[in-house]
Amino acid sequence: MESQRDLKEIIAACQAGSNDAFSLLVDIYASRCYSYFYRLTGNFAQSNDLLSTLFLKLVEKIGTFRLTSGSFEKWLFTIASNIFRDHLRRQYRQKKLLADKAEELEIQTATTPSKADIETIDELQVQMAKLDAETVELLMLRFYGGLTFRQIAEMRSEPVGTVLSKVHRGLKRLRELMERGND
Amino acid sequence: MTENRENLDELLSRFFDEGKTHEAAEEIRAGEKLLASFSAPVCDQAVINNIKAKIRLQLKARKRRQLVRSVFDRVAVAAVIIVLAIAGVRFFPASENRQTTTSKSGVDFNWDDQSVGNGYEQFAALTDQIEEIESSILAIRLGEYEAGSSMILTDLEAEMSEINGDFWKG
Repeated sequence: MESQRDLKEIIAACQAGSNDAFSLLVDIYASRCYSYFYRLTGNFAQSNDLLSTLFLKLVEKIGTFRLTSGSFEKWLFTIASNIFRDHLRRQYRQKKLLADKAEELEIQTATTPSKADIETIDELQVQMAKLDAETVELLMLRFYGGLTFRQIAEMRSEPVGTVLSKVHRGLKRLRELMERGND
Repeated sequence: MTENRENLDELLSRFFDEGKTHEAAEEIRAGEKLLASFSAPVCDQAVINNIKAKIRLQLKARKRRQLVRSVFDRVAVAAVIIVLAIAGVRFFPASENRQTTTSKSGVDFNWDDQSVGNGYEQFAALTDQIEEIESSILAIRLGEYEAGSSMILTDLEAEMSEINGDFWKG
């Protein structure tokens, strides 16, 4: 893991337009961001697309990140979270459009998991799907984003206590589901 | 995985009563341990390489846009020079009239005629150079030059500064 000083130097080089620095940033964060998207969508193809969108957005917006203040992870995962929400909205619109169509068309929508998705889906993914989408996103921001409760609260404009309580309840419920699932 | 080690007990104590704080902290830690025990699939290296290639293209396009914008800024400066040059040329015939008037007082203004001739020659030279720059800009816009070529900008800058120098020297 890069030290904060190294990371600041990399970000400064990215802001100056260095291609090598962006490559380094991709190497550092691609895995975490991919896991974040995968746990939210449970779909390889969608996770790949979202990851690609995230890094292209990063290139576009890197100039707006202030090196002197704020955490880069918080900034990055705020963009990731917005991209995921846009994706959900798009998916919702798509579903609505296809609702009037024949059933066979629904089968072809992007939301349908592929064979590879079904084969690699783990117990955690199955049980997480039973939680509400907002709780799952909070858990993933905490776990893959590495954000503190305060950062998540700031990001979502919610009181810290509310975020803390939602994460606590979500993790407790997930453990119960996993235990029941294993019985 | 996470680096979000804030003082969980202290934070929880602000929202839970004393008896519940420890219990809630343990439940959160156990939940996070559970998440850590399941590793998510790893991103394919081909996807990462594809992203890097897209970034490279995006940066290249951005540099090209910056170059074109910078060239257009210089065109604006060239336009100002043209306007000033035209204004200067129009000013010379006016001084000729003045020469006729003042000749009556017996003062010799022959050097003014020479200045007018020199002014026209300089103006023609300036116009040629500006036209040359315009054709270079057009070539850049049409993509005839390599966007990354640092020589284009350097050459244009050198030409512009030369024209500026020539013009103000008169």
